[in-house]
Amino acid sequence: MFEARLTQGKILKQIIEAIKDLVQEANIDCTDDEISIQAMDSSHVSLVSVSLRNGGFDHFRCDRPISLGFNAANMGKILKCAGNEDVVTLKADDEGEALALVFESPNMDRIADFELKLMDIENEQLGIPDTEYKCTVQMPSSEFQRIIRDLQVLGESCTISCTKEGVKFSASGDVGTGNVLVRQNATAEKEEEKVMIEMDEPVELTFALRYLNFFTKATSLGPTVILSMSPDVPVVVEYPIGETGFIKYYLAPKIDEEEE
Amino acid sequence: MGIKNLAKLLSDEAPSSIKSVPLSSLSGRRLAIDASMAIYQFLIAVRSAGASGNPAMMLTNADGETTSHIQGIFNRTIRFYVEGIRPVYVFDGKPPQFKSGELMKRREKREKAEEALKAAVEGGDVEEQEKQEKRLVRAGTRENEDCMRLLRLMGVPVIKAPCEAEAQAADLAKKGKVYAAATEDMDALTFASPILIRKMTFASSSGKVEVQQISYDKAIEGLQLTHDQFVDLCILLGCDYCDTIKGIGPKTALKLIREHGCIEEILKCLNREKYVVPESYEPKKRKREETSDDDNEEEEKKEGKPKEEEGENDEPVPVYIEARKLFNQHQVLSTTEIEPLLKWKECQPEPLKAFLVDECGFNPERVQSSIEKLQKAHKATSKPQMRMDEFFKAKPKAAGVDNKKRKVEEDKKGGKGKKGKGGGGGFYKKK
Repeated sequence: MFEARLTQGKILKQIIEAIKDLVQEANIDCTDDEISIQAMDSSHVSLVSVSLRNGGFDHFRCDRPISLGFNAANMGKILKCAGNEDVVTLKADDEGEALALVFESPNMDRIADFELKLMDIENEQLGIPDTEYKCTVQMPSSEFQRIIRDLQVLGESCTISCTKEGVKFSASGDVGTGNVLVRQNATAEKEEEKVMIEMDEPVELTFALRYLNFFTKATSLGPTVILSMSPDVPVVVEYPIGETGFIKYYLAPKIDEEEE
Repeated sequence: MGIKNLAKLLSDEAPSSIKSVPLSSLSGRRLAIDASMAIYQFLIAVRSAGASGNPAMMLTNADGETTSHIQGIFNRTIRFYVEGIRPVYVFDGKPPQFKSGELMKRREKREKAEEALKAAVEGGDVEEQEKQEKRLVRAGTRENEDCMRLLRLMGVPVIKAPCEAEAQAADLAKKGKVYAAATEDMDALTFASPILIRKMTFASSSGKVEVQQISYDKAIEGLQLTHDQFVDLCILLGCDYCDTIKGIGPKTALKLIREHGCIEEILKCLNREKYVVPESYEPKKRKREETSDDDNEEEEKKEGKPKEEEGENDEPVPVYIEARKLFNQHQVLSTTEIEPLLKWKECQPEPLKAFLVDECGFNPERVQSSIEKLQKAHKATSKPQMRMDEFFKAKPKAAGVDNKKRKVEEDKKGGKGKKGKGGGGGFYKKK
C-alpha cells in the first residue's frame, strides 16, 4: 500500500509539466522515505531525476517499495484537472493496476478522484555517482530561462563557459552570434535574486539548446536554478523544490571530435 | 542470404530480443552498414514507375548505366547525417571459398530467371517480366565501385572487408568501434554483433520512422543457448556456407540443439529414416558405407567427437565444422587497420556535383539542395552529441522485483483494485 498526501498539489502538476516534453513514459518509484522518478529522453542524451522526500508530504505511507509506470502525457491530462490550490493525494495498491489521484479543494467543498491506468515500463536505471563539480552557479531560474530562450534564436548549440569573470552563455549560427554574461552578485537583496559562482577551475562546455529549453519548463518549481559543470561530463541543471525535493536534469555535452 | 527463418524463430522464442525503436534513438551513434546488401536492395527497389503497360525500369543515366543504387545510397546517407547518425559503409571482399557452393546455386537460379524472362518478354507478361528482372539484379563490381566513389566524395568512411561485409560490420560493433551492424542479413547476429539494426527503409506512414533493433545477448538468452550452440543452430537453420539436414525446421533445430548441445551429438542420435543428412556432413561415412553398411551406427559414435582433433590432412572435414569456423574466426581487419579509416570528413561539393549531375544525370537543383543538407548536417555532427550511457552505467536491477510482481498479479486482476479505493476513506479519517 502506498499513500501520499501533498498539501501543495500544484508541485505535482508542475513536475509532470516539467518532464512530459522530455520523456513519454517513466516509473514513479516509491520507497518508505521518498518518491522518485528517473527517466531519459528517447535519444538518451539527457536524463531527468525527480525526488520528493517524505518530509514534504503531510501524510506518507509506503509499506514496501513499488514502481508505478505511467504515461507522462496522460498523467499530465489528469493533473490538469486539479486546481492550483488543491490538496493532492496519491494512492496505489501493491498489486494494483492503477494509480488513484484525489484532488480536494482548499475548503473541502469539492473532491475529485481519478484513476490512471499503470503500465509496465522496462527502463534502465542509471547509477549516478555523487561527484564534486568544478563549477557551480546558482542564479534566478527566470534569468536562466530567458537566456536560453534568447539564444535559441541564434543557433542550435550553446556554449556555457564559467570563469572568474562570471558565467557566459554563447550561441552562434547563420544569423549571427550572441553572448550573455552573468556576473556574480552575492549582495542582492532577495535571496533568489543572487548569482553565486563557486569555481575551482574554469570550465567550458557545449550543449544542445533544444534540451536546455526543455529543462526550463521547470522554472515555475522554484525561484533558483543551480548549474553544476566539470570538463567533459554532463551538466546538471537543478531546481530545488522547497526544502525537501528537487528536479535535476543531466545533459550530455557535445564534444570536439579530436578530443575523443 | 542470411540465416533462414532466424528472425521468425527469435520473434517466437526470444521476443524481448527484437525491438522496434525510433530512428532518433540512434542519434549520436555510429553504424556499420553492409554496403553490398544496401546496394542490392536499392537496385531492386528504386525504380521509376513504369508507364502503363511497361514494366518499371531502373534509373539510368544517358548512357543507359544503372544509377538506382547511387540515388539510394546518396539519399539514405544524407538521411543518416540529418538524424545525427554517422554511417560507415562496409563492402564485401572476396567470398569465402566455402561459399562457392551457395554461389553456384545462385548462378543456376540466375540462369533459370534469364530463361523465364525471355519467355515473359515474348509472351508479353509484364508482371512476370518485372519479377524475373528483379531476380536478375546483381550488385556487381561496377555498382560497388560507383558507390565507393560516391561515398568518398561525400566524406563518408568506406571499409573494404577482407572477406564478408557482415562479418566485418559485426566485428566493428563487437570491438565497440560502432554501435551496431546494419544489414538485413541475420548473419551479423551469428557473427555475434552485439546489436543488429534491420528494416532501415525509412518508409513511414505515420511520420514516425522506426527501425528494428535486435540484441544478441537477449537473443541467445531467450533461446537459452551458448554462443557455440547458437552458431550450430544457425547452421542447421540454413546459412550461406553449407547445406542443411533435410526435414529439420526451425522448431526442431532449436529442440535438437537444446537437447544435444552440438551438431556432432545430434548426428549421433538422429533418426536417419526421418531426416536426410547430406553427405558433406559426414564425408568419411561415404567410404565406410561401401565397406560395411552394418557397422555404420557404431562407427559414427566413435568418430563423433575426435573429428576435430584428428588433424589428418587427407581426411575431408565435415562441412558444418568449416561453416562454424567461418562464423567464429572470420577474416577481418585489425583495430589498427580500422582506426585511420573511421574519419568523417567534409564532402567535396564540386566533384560530387560533377559525378552526380554530369555522370549520373541527376537533377542539378536537387543535387545542390541535397549537398547543402549534407554540409549542414556534417557541421552539426562535427561536434557530436554525447549520450547519457557514455557517462552513467545502468544500475543492476533491484527495483525490477516489484514490476515482475505486478506482471504476475495481472492474471489475478479483479476487484482488488477497487477495494483499495474504498480503503482510501482513510483520507477522510486523516482530516
